[in-house]
Amino acid sequence: MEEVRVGGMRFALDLSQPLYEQVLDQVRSSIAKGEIALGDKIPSVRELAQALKINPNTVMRAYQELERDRLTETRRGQGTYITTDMGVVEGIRSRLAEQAIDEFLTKMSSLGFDDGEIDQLLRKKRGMDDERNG
Amino acid sequence: MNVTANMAIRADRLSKSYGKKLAIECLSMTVPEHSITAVLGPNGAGKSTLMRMIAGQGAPGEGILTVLGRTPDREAGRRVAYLPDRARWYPHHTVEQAAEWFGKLQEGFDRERAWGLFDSFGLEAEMKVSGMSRGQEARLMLALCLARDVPLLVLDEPFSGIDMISREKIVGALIDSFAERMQTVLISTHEIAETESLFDRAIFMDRGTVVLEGEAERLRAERGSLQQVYRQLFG
Amino acid sequence: MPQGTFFFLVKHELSSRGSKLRLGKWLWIYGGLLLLLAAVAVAIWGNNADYDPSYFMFTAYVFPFMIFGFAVEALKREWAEGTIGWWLSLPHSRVQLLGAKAIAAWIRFTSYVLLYFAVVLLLDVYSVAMYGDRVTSVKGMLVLEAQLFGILVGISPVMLAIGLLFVAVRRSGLKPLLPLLWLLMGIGGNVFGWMTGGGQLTVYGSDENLGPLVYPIWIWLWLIPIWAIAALLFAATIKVCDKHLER
Repeated sequence: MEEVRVGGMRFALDLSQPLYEQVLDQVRSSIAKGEIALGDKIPSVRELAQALKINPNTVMRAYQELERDRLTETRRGQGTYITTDMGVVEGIRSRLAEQAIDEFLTKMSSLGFDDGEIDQLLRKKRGMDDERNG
Repeated sequence: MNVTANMAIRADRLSKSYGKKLAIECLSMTVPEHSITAVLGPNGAGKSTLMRMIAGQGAPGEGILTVLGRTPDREAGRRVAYLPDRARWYPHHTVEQAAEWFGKLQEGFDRERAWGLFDSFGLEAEMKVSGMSRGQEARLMLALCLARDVPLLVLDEPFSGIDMISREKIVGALIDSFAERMQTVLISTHEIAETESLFDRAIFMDRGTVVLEGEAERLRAERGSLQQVYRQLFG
Repeated sequence: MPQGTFFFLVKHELSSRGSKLRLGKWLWIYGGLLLLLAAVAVAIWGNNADYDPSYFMFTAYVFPFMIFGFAVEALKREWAEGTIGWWLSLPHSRVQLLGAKAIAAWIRFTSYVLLYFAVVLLLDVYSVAMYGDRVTSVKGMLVLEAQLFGILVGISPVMLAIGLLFVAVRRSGLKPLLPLLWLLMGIGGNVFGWMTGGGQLTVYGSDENLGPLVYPIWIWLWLIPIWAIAALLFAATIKVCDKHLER
């Protein structure tokens, strides 16, 4: 599905994967990237379902998990808001970073690289980037 | 867990024949409450026959069919808003007259809600059905169904042969209606790619029986998009 | 509220797109044309010694088949317009749904018949004015029309019922029974002719010859079994609509 922008967040849903996970991931990374700020209001279940043209139950499931993670809080009669707790957001960033690193290391390992080689490659890349940036 | 309590529709080894032709054969499936369930399959699979039975038109030959906790007869059909397959509307009606017809003859029709839907669909009171495009007519008929405050909505190919804009408007109205009310929706369509994001559950039918059924998200995790699953089964 | 429902259903039927002949503007155009044609016919053939306006009543033999046609059209329309799904899903008894169609078909038919009779009556007035005693008197024409109308009303339930049953059977698994219904229609349509004496429609001259025009009581008594048959056929139609339709 094509990319949709809703309330500061960007969604590009792939119908061949579970949708609720994608909604969850994309809200989390929007928060981690700072695309939406702490304390910001996010779209209601209905609004997001409308914008993405997906089943409200799917959105609700994602929102429930966000609430469970304490990334969001629902204020009665007002809507759903991102937490103001920086610690929680930092926690998400770390988790996403860990995930990315895990994926990277798994991939490299499957290509046959050991830790030493990986370190070397990383340093080399760093060096090249530094040169380019002067 | 009392499984029956959560099932809006339950079919158990259902069979139905028309003369010598067996339209539905040993069909078993369940549709949970408050879900949007899709019935998918090639033409002649028996989808329309099944939906008609659920709506209370036509008793099963064999097997058990329970809709909203009871046998689907005409009396039970009062709690079902059914959009028939290949449905058209009375050509001599205006939008206003269509609403009047539905209001006077069907149960649970909410006039205010209907007019809200007509507005968002761009339908005006004095528009004549005979002058409408297929898309407008489809929007009118769906609006009439959605305006009924009933627990079960059965839509047989509501997107068939209509333009993209009309289809998008209908999808939007369905999302709104579903988010607002505790309703169960059963919908059959061939436009899988454009609508699969709506489904909680999918039931794939072929030659009168169910070949695959399951939660949409689980099917996606296991097999890919519903469109891909359809190809795997019938391609 | 059942009463309100039935009335609304009939109203809906009457406002529907009927056959090419529909109530309203076209009815008057049709009537006007008929009058014109008839006046021309009279002007041309009136002087002929054999002319009598009651000849126009021979067309009444067709009317029972017209009733059948209107009933067929009333039910067939749901399929033709693609609204059969909506109609069948209405939470009202088949008696009401089919009954409304029958009543509406009858109203449509009657309006045409009455128009026709009125035109012929006018023609008779004109003819009497032109040719005096040689043609059927106005009173005679009125008596003739009244009785013909009475018999038409009498047999219309059965012709309506055959019409509705015909459409229902055609759309069901009982299709093979159709030839039987054609037969029934033929018999039913001809009952009218038989009841009206098979040709005893005209009377010449003065009021003294009115005698043959007043049909005997036993003709009317035949309506009782005819209505019973109509009720049976109507019940059969309901059964077919409930259990046997194959959409």
